[in-house]
Amino acid sequence: MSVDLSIFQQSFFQEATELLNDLETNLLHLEDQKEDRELLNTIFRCAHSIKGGSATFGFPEIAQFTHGLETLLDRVRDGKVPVTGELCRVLFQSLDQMRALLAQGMGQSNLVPDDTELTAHILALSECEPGGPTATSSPEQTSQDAKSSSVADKFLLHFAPGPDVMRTGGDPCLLLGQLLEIADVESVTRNDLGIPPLLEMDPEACYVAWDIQFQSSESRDVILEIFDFVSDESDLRLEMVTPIEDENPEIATAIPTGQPAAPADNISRPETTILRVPADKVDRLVNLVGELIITQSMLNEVTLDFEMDRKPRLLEAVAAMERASRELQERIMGIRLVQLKHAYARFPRLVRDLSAAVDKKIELITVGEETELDKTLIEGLGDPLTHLVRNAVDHGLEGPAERKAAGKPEHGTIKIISRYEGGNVIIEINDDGKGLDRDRILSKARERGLVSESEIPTDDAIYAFIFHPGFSTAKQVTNLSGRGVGMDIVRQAIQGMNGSISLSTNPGQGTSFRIRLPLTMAIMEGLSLRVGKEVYILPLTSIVESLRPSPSDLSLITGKHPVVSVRGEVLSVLALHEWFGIDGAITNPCEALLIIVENEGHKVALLVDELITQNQAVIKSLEANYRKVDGITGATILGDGRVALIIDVPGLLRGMNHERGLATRAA
Amino acid sequence: MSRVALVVDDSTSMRQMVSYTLKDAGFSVIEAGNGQEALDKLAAATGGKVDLIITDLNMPVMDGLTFIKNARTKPSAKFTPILMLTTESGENRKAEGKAVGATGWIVKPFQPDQLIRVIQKVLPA
Amino acid sequence: MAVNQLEGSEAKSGVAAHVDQFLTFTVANEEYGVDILKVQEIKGYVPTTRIPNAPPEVVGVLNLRGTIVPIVDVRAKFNMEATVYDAFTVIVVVVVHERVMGIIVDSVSDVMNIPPSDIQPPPDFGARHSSSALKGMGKVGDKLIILLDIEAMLLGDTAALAA
Repeated sequence: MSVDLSIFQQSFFQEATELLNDLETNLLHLEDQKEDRELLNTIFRCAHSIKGGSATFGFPEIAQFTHGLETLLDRVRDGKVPVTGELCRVLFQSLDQMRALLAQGMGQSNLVPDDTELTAHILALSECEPGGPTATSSPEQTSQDAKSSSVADKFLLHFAPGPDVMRTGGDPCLLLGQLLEIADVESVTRNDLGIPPLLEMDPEACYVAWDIQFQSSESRDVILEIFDFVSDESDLRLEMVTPIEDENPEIATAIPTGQPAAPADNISRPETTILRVPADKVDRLVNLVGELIITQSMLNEVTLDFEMDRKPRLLEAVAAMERASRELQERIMGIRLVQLKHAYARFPRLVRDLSAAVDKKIELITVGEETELDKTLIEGLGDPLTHLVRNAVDHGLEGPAERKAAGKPEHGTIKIISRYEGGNVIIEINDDGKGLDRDRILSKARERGLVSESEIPTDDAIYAFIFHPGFSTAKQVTNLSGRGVGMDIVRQAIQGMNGSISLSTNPGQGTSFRIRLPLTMAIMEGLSLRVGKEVYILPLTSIVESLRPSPSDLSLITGKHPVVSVRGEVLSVLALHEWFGIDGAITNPCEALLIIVENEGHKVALLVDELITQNQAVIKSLEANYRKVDGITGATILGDGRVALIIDVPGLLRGMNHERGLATRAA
Repeated sequence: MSRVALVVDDSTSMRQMVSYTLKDAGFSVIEAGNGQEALDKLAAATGGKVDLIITDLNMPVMDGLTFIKNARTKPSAKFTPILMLTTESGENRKAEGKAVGATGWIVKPFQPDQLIRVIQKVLPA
Repeated sequence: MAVNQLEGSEAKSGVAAHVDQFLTFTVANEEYGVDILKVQEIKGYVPTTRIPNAPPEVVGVLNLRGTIVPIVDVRAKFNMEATVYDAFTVIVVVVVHERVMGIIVDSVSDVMNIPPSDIQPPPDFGARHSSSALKGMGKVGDKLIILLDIEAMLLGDTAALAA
């Protein structure tokens, strides 16, 4: 029987990747919580697990490097090594090194920085003598002393198991059985002298001892190894009697050394991607399959002894079947959906490192990171987003002094906002830095012959030049994967996903990059509501609360704009029936419902008839066959097959402000 | 009726490897991600009894040594062979383990056939 | 009736291409025809979901096996008298420039082969039918079929569906 360990490598890779990500998050916390024991234990376990797994599944380099780290972390969690800024730096460097080693192990790269210096540093911190444990330990404990012999030696063994051997689940007979496998027994003497009278006997204790004379070609160590578990508590003596010449020498058989299997050349790396699926997604699938089975039996029932007068029921059953199987198909596709926060995971660390390197104070805010995208899109976004964030840190944001002089807060802010818009995901990367320098870009474009001296392109055209190949100053040569990236590559990557990227900038105020990615599908948690006879869906994430106001809470500003007071806060009321031109809706808020929605800090109270229920809505594009509709961000298909439109909260807020702006200007 | 093994380790890949090896050797396997989960699964097992326990030591929620100590207090697990997964630098672990009632250990990293050989020291073939 | 059925009947009659074939239907007692190659399927009328602030001829959208399809009422498009939809009302699903859309008609008639020689250029109907939506007048026996340019009708300049 031989289990091929390479089948577990994929599992190990995924686990190791997650562990390294967890480690990073924990290290980020460590800087603020130096004394947290539980945190230190968790960090230790990350390294410990990676070490164990990498050694077991055939990655000795990773195991070797991680070994020193594990020793250090063990001492840190025991309080023997203090948590200092220097320690944290070394830990972060080690994390990067482990990532590089893992990437190498996964066949993704062959560039691994030399870690001699880092390893020495780790040793120094853990106050170990240089040259401490570094070699991967051989798993076969006796391989060093493996002394395969073609001659059988004669041995005399005295084995008196300790009285408690069986209390810990041991069985001396099994051990003797193992001995029998490697020994030619000449004589066995059982020693019963230790057995007490029956009334005094503890049935769980061991009182018997053995003296065994035997021949074996195995070494002392191999023989003694059998009794490893009980040697400390037992009386165990092994003597070698004069060696005997074997008349028929057998070819020495090497003891299997059991070296960890080296990964077979990186060619046959299993192609399977592993998906982590939340259990509730799987549960919903299971439910759907149940529905499908029910509709199937409906069909069976109707078609048995079918008569034409049963046709309506047949059609009903077929329709139900179609709905259930379509939803099943969509949800299975949905399993590939992953939250954007996984693409953002590395950014807090990146921003921290970069801002320290360039001496700027930067805050990173992410909004809408629960927006889901197909896994491949998430993976494809990693590098482009990273580059945009780096750019913002490096070029976009000013240093604290410059910001102060400009009357801005010392802390620069980078915001990554994501949301659905129709059949697309929109990701915006905004900074409140100094904006793009139009004139500089124009002169550079002229330098490169992209624009003639006399031409004066529009501002948008000028800014678009930054996407031109070779245009950007690539100050950063290496990102996490060691490749240089320019804005042109960013755009190509986005276009490769059928998306588009645009930018807008405001000198002195900041720059905003807008990435649009079309989706084949997206699922959103929503709340369905009714206005008149029409059903609409609100994204759950935009909802703050709902309430039925009393007349005293309502008033009209300048006689025209309805507002409601909620715990002292005054919010505009947007009557959806007015906005969407719906007849037959309840117009009096006190008889209806106000749903308070929020986007980027702005709130408004939507007037609706009633809330229906919460559902998971598969977002369908309205634009694919129709066009963009103001205030609507897409559609979904309800359980009964009808279409419900999804409300675009940011769009509504913008439209409302615009109108109010117009109104106040006109007033 | 095949023998039942309980495998306790917070590392998924490690658990998979051990489980696979055990199943290959004819065991049916129950898995747990930490000591507490292991105790729960032990209680839920048929007759509260399993034939073999293999446990890692470093785990969140409840570590291996605590788990072993607790397991030994359950009458059905009093004499169940318990093997710890240790590392070569954990010499003191072996003694600590025995003190709380572990039967033996296997040192990481190990090959599947080594695991089987160690199991044969505590369970008949 | 799906387009593949038409292929079957074709194979029997040995007619080569669909190029000259039109699906004909009735709206307010007038006969119209559209290029068969643009017709995806025909389905019975089902209520649509209204789109807020849409032009009057766009009555709403419906779910066609998971795709959201906008539906245009031909009567409203050509400013004809509105009618009540009933069991015979039909939606003709067309595909124009990769967009799937539907038009509501009173009833569907037949597939007819109208070679170009039988098609006259459209007369000027004045305000009632914007002539850009017409391909021409097809003559089939004694009947005159108003051939619609479905592309221009749904996506043309005056149309509401242009993005």
